[in-house]
Amino acid sequence: MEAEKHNETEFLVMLRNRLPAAYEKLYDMYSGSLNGVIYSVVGDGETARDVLQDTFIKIWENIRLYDEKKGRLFTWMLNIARNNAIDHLRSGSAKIRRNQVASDTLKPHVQEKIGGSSSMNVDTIGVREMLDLLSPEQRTVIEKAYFEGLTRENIAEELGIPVGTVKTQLRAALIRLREYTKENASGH
Amino acid sequence: MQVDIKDILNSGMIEEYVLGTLPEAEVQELNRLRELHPEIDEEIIRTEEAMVRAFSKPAPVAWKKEILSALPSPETPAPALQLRRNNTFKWVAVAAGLLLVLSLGFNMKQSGDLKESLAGMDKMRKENENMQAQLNGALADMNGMDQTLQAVFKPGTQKIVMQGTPAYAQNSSVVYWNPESGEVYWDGRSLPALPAGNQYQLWAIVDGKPQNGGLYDPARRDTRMLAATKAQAFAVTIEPEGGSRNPSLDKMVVMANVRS
Repeated sequence: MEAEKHNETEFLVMLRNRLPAAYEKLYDMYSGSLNGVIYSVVGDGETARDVLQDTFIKIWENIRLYDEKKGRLFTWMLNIARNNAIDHLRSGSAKIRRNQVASDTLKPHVQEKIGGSSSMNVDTIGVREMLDLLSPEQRTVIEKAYFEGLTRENIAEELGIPVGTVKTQLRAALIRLREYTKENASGH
Repeated sequence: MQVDIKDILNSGMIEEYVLGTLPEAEVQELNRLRELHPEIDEEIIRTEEAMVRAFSKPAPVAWKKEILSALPSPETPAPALQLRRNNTFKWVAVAAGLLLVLSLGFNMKQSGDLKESLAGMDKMRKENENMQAQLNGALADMNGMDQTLQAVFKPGTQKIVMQGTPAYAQNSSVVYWNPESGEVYWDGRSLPALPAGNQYQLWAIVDGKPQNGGLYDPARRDTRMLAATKAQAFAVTIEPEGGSRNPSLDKMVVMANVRS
């Protein structure tokens, strides 16, 4: 684990120094999961490509603002991808603001509700089977948390249920999903 | 307060931490705990791996090349330089055999881009974001400086004073190098400002070959450079913005051998 940590630090130094090889590795490691959240929000393939590209450009531009003491690189990138996708929907335009400030991408959650969460295409992203394991309530909260990046408070407000309930459902859902991926990873 | 690690591991807090939906206060608490308890850190990493798998939708293969080539990272192969063979540079002549690829960043130019991109957005948001970006920048700077200090005081770290070459005799620059960890810290601020389109580039001479050490970006306060083990010397050259594959030896500003 120490070695792993050391490698992560080295990797981060390479990213901060903008070595192309490091970005290629980053892409190989995370493009799938970033694409997952982007696709779920914006749908359409070409649009998803633009948003994913924009996400990588923002990562490249803002990598020095990422602080490993405050959270995981993946979490930071996930926020960028999510906010990018949601921004894209909100702007309703195919043009993506290229150099949007870091603060926006670093915000841990999206404050505003986006227009119509029905636009999410969860079914198409290949996690349907997994999400089907959840109760409808759990599924709703996980979608809002993962795909929209809403906090428990935001979700509670939106659904008109107590924050404590959201928390319970969210945690149960995440634990269930995790068990599922574990089972799958170990070949059942 | 006695923290029951098992409770934390089973709480779902870690999953939310990875997804980025955990409230800030709890994020801070978990950051503190993961420093203290390796089990928590390990669990965070395992959870992340599971999440990455769970929500992945592989992007079409063709995207990889398109997206990576859209990064502003410049691939500017410098023309191989013919070395003037005089005694002063003899050692570098030997060293100049093989070079690592590099391609480092432009100046961040963030403030410029910021203004441009915010045109047409509402004023309130602009101010907010500006402030937040400044704050984040300041925090990143502080973090970078703190990292540098820690490295400087780390046992085993050597202070290497690079002296000016004949053409740049009045200049000097300091690099901190820890041979055990290979960490290199350098900051080019003691060197004269360069005309636009140029950047200082650090080189480590490893087994007689120049190895890219990274570019000096005055906007960056994070001074950690690319790691080097077994370096015999360090040098700084002036290169076109974005850096070169090979050092421009006629534009070597400072250099020093490492004490063995």
